[in-house]
Amino acid sequence: MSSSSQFKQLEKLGNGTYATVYKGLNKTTGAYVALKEVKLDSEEGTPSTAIREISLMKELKHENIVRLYDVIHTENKLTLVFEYMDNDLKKYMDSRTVGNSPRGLELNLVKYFQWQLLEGLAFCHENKILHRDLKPQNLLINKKGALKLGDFGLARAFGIPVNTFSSEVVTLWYRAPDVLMGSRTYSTSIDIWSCGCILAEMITGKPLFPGSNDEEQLKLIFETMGTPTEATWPGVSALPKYNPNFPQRLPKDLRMVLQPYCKEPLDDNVIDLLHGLLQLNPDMRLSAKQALHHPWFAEYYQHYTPAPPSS
Amino acid sequence: MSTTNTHSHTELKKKGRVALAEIQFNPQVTHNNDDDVKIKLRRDSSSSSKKRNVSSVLGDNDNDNVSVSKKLKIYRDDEDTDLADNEKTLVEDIGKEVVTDTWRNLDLLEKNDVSMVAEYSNDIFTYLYNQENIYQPTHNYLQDPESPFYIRPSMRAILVDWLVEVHEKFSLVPETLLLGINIMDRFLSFNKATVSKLQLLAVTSLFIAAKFEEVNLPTVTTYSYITDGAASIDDIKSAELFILKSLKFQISWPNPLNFLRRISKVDGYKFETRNMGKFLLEYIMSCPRFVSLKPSVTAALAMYTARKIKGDKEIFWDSTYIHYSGGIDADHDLNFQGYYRELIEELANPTTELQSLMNKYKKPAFNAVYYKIRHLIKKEIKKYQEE
Repeated sequence: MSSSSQFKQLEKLGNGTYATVYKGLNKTTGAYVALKEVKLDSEEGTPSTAIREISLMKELKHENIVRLYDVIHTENKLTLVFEYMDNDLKKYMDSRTVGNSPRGLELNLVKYFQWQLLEGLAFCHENKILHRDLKPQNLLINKKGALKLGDFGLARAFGIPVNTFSSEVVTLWYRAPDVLMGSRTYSTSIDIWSCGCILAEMITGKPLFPGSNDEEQLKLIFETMGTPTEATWPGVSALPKYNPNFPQRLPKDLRMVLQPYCKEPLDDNVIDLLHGLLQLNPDMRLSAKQALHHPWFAEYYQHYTPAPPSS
Repeated sequence: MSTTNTHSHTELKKKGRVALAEIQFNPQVTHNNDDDVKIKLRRDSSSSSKKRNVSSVLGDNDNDNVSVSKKLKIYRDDEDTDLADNEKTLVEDIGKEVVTDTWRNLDLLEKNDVSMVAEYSNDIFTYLYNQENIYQPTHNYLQDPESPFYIRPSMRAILVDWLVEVHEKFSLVPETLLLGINIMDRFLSFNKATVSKLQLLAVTSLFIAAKFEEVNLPTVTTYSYITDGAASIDDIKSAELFILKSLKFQISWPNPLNFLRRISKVDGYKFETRNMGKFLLEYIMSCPRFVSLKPSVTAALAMYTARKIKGDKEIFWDSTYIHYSGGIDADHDLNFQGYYRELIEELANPTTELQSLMNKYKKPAFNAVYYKIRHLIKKEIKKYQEE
């Protein structure tokens, strides 16, 4: 553990799920860091979120995952010292909004970000870790176009076979339909749904399914993706919050949904990838690994390491 | 339940005193009251924050495991060519345990070649076999009386057995107990703990393990309450941070239950064998002799022993078993055979008292698997002696 005097605390960057994050300066090296402060005065001792985040992130060393350098304990708080990133994807997209009309990212940048998101996620899953809170706010970016997964406050290790978990996870807009219907045996597919929502949001600049409660969230999903049936999703009717009276909708053409908000023409590949990520039935969703081999990324996996898009 | 508990409580007290008598040379203890070292356990937790229905929840837990195993089959087995020979057994076994819907799902998945957890299964286990080395106690701190970290094996047995009881009372998942024991063992393997603090250490280890594993957490008040005054809420909170720092926050231990279930896949998740394996796993974790065994070896030893004493007729520990146990050639590895021998001898003639563990596995919620094991062990020992 380093000492806290090694870091100078600068401005506040934001509030995480259970902590406050500041920008910090490593006085020894001159490098910026992100300092996440966790208060220890809670009634229940060290928050379980902090125990999970620290113990899991110590194992996750990957270029698309924010690095946890150190943990410092002072009097009544823990300070997690993270790699510093300039921005997050949410703020970046917001900054591009002109007046009231959101603007999506250039498609080559969308592809580069999505690739890095899936690389980082595949690494989590290979290391038996579910992130469970993927959303633009938790994807940190820098000026070089690097994207890294951050905020593992809701993450957890999954056993083999997968244990039952809480269904109170993932920010509503990015929460998978199986979890919304009360499934507690979800697995890596829970993160994949979020990846699909994020991909669509990068393209259009606006959230794909911005529901305000569980019920409306499912309604929005079904309006676009169609209402699942036993035929399209065997076992769906056995989920705790399945409602046989869900309004019956047919799936819409995703291209028709997204194209109006995107200046560049959307090709078949990106639409196909979106379909793979946004399968209602979690068993049918692509894995992160499979998604990385999707033809939309052909230019990347053929050259192995993608270069940041110019501009 | 209350009669066995009262009984075991008396036993616990008695054991506490014996342990105390054994460590009287410890200056910490001489001017301490007897009570300081005793392991205290509240019988009636009705006034604690949450009272759960232990037996039904435990029953459910086991059902959960079964249903999750079903899921495991669907996600992981379809791509395993090694399993081709066992296909028939698999199908038959599944037929008993699994609803047909889920089974059809497997076909569906095969057809579409979507089996994402199967896809990660090998990566994950490679990773876990690698990780288990860094999460081991530095050594078996129960073996060398000259070592500064030495504590008496009987003391640890009292602590572990008490944890078994608390864990059961709190209706926690099986992973939590094993992780709690690992946290305690790792801490003790390089920290000197005074006898008066051991119970605080044990209860806090479980407190931390639950925070890592559980969805619903018992409150710190409940943990303090169950020690009957031995550990205050503040004691537990400061011990928590002390332990976490000492272990460098490395809590993501490869739990042996992962390895056990992986081995169980070879015989198509035979319920009885796996159930016996689970008991044996907790038993091995509780035995002083096996403190420094790696989780994958512990799991293999549990499953090997379960199969061996059950006398499963099919091919015994073939290449498929070797593969799914992480490369353990149980029949030919001399160390492993040594562990096996020690384990069945310990089971037949226990040198470590583990009353709560035995009581737990005498219950219907755990299929009273203890009786079955006792019966089979006698037969196995006889066979051994005849050889």
